[in-house]
Amino acid sequence: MEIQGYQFPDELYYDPEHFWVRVEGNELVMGMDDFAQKMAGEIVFVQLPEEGKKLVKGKKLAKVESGKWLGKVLSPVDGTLLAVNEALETNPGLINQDCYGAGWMYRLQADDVGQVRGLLHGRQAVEEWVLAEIAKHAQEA
Amino acid sequence: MHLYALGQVPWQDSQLAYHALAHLGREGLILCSPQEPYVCLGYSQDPAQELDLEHCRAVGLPLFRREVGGGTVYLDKQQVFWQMVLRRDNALVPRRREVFFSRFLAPVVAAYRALGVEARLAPPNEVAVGRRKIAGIGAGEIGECLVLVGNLMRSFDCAAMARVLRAPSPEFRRLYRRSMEANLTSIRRELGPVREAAVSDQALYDLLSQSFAQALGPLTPAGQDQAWQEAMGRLAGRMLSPQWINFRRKARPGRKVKVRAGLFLHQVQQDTPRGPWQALFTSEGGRVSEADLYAPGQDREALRQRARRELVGLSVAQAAAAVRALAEQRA
Repeated sequence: MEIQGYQFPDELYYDPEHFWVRVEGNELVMGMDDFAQKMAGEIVFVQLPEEGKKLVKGKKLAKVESGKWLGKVLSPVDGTLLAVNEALETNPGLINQDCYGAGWMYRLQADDVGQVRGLLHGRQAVEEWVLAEIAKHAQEA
Repeated sequence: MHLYALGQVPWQDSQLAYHALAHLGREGLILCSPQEPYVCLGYSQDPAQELDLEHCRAVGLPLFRREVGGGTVYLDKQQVFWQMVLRRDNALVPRRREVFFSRFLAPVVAAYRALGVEARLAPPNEVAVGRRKIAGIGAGEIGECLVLVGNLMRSFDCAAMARVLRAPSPEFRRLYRRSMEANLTSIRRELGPVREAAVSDQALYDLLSQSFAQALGPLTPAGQDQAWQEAMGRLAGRMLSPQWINFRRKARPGRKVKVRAGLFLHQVQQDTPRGPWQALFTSEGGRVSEADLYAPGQDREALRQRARRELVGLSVAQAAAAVRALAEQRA
């Protein structure tokens, strides 16, 4: 669905820190959502940690840089890092070009896939959240 | 919030201090200068790709890879560092990145203006006088804190900066230095050497602390305590280790270096049987603004004119392709 110019595919789950999660069986694929990549501007670096890294929900998974700002990517679940998008090593701008496709970031093995139910999902919940985010940002303009 | 006016400190402490404060989850504004010159890399930078490491070793320039964004910079005591550490949950922290930068770079602009330097915020995240940059800026999330660091520049040694950078050719290094000199400024350049020299570091600290107090609220002077110093010691073990500093990234073809916001210097090389063809060009807003070509056995002036005629105005990708095509035609 499109919400005030931002794309939020219906089938995905969303972390309040603006990362999306797609469930593929027992595995999860995650990336940055459209709102976040537009706010960040040109992404110049994505840290690609070693596969096998243990992940803790809400804790740092990696770092991302745009506009002199080095930010954190937080893990949406407890689990293990299975794979990274190697294409981001030389072309981190893929996130800006196609954040839900070629710009995916990490593939995770969740200890409990059910943890994704704690994320935002479904048209109504996502729309309410995104509109609230847009309003908060607009207040600061 | 505490104000830590540390004065001149050992070079590594001028970086470790704010990292340690942030890792401890403590807020504060640090003001300091390094006793010795050094080179500071952004978190995502590979020193082997960014720097002339042989030169740095030969002249004894230490390296530091910081945990905030931004690019490589040569630092020395001609720069007064300001380093702001805020907890993520501080009510002063806005959600929008550009508001964060404009809110907390305003004190830097104010400090310059109080000195008589006509600085302004160059959105989203630079401080400039006209089109010339007058502060290096970096930001990021460390532990539970947000960090914004930068400097007031008394003067900037463009020659030293150009020398430490890895340059694929002498022409690249010369052009980089010239671009830096044309696009950077300093207190000395704006006010003249006499007025610059009359301003003490303490006066700069006072200006910064007063202007940051407008943005952060009252600042209480304090010194470093044992917990902070111990945290710096622990971090030194990690951040001064070769494993941390020698971060490796996959090399990309050619060379691209930022001069200031929106202005980049590029080198594209195409090897031919008669020798390499090299194009040097600057880009502004993604388009080639100036260009030159170098090739063995070719007339210099003819190449220069050709570069201007055929490369200026192209996108960076188009220019790179044009150089390769040109070299192959002449090979």
